[in-house]
Amino acid sequence: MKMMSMGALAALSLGSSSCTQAQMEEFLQKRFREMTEAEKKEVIQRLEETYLRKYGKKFGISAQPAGYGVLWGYGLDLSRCIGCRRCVYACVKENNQSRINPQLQWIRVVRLKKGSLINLENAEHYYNPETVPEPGFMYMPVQCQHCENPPCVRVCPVKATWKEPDGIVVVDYNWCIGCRYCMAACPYKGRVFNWSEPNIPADELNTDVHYLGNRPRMKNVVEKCTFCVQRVRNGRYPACVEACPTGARKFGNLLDPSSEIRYLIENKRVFRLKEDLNTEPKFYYFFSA
Amino acid sequence: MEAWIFFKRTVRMVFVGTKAYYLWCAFLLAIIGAAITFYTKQLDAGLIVTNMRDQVSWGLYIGNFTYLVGVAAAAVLLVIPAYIYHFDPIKEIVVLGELLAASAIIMALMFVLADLGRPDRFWHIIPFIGILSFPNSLLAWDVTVLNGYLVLNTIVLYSDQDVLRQGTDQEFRHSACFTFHSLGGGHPYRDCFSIQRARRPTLLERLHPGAPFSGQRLLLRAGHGPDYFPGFEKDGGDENQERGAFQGR
Repeated sequence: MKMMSMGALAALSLGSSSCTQAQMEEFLQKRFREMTEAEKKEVIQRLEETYLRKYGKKFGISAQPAGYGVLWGYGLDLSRCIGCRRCVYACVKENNQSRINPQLQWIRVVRLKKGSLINLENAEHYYNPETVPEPGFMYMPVQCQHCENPPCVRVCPVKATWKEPDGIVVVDYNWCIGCRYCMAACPYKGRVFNWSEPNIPADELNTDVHYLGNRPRMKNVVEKCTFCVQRVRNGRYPACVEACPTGARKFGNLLDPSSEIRYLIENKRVFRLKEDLNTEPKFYYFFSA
Repeated sequence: MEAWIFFKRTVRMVFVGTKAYYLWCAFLLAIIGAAITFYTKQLDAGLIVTNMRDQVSWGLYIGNFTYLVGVAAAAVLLVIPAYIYHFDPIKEIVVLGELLAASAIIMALMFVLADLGRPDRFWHIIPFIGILSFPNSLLAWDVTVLNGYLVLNTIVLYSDQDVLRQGTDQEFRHSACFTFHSLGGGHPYRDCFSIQRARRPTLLERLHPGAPFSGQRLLLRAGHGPDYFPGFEKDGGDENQERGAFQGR
């Protein structure tokens, strides 16, 4: 009955002549969390074919689930960050973000006057110095904080975004209706929107992708940092951690007592952004010096 | 059958008028035509044609939506003097108020639809067919309340046809519908009862968890005080705040 009504809906909204089998299947596709393993496999195969047609490249799409006993946490050493934004561009490259019009970036490096760190009202988004670091300023990269209590997940009217068991907040790009409520709800501006069809040069595409992570998106859906889900579930660091020239970025398993991130939390003066909102971010800022 | 006759009579009424009326209708149709052209363009190119960006991700569409919800609620407010305080001269205007409310709600819902990035996935939000995150998402509340409100207004309008025709008093039906409004919850409810506060932020704007924080920075930059957002109400919502709220929108 459900399938019938959806089929009728599909026929109505897409018209009969202009719609291919693949488009029809994409239209009727279920939410990722409700798919069976067989359905996931089918969807991924179809997506790979679509990407091959669209970009002329063979994609490997993984749907690897979260591992047991893992809760990812991030540490950022503010005394080491020099504001070079290499992490920003490494992220763009790794995660297949749209390059121009609009240029989407998941990490924002805001500039703060030294001595007024606590006052984020004075944070600068837009600055373009000849060289960094500039005297008298410090830099604070902000990205999705992967809250334990994420407001963006709560407000989504169709449950297109959720927190994975390993603590990563992900988006099902094929279920998002583009209402942008999550962007309004996020206190960290951690989400960006594909205002038009993403532009990625074919030779810069990363073909090693995850269904909930860096697979190429479509227009009018929301996207965000996933801690490089395609990498961390395979035992690699996120791209931004690898790109940082000063080693300001740390990453690890919060449930592992011997991990680097646990050491930092226990031994450094850590703080989390806007803790008073009760969002419980898993992104810890600290000063090592 | 009665409803069909009512509908036919209404349609006939719409097509009859003076020359000025036809001109006005032609003007409105031209606007609708232009809007449809632009909307097709938006469907084709994406929401980028609205010039909204990540910094301001809700623009005129949502602004118009909240405005029209306010218009609808205000139109229904006419019920209060007419049927609670029994102020008789206003009773005929109530019908106009309901007409205005119904059309404002339809426009509000259309603005939300236009704001949607993927209207092709609209079925995702329909309960039972898709997934409506009902108790959690306030947008789901808005969808439910506004559609319910539209249905109620249609019922009220239908019952109003006697008033239009014969001037029969419909006190009972109005009261019943008004009670439904109150039971319905959501912003129509709140707006009906905060009579002095003509326009407050909708439920959607007011209560979402990030509102006080994500909006505040932006507004401070634009020169508005922190009293704009409810989370920062220092003096508990006096009349002066209304001015701030209007400027902010």
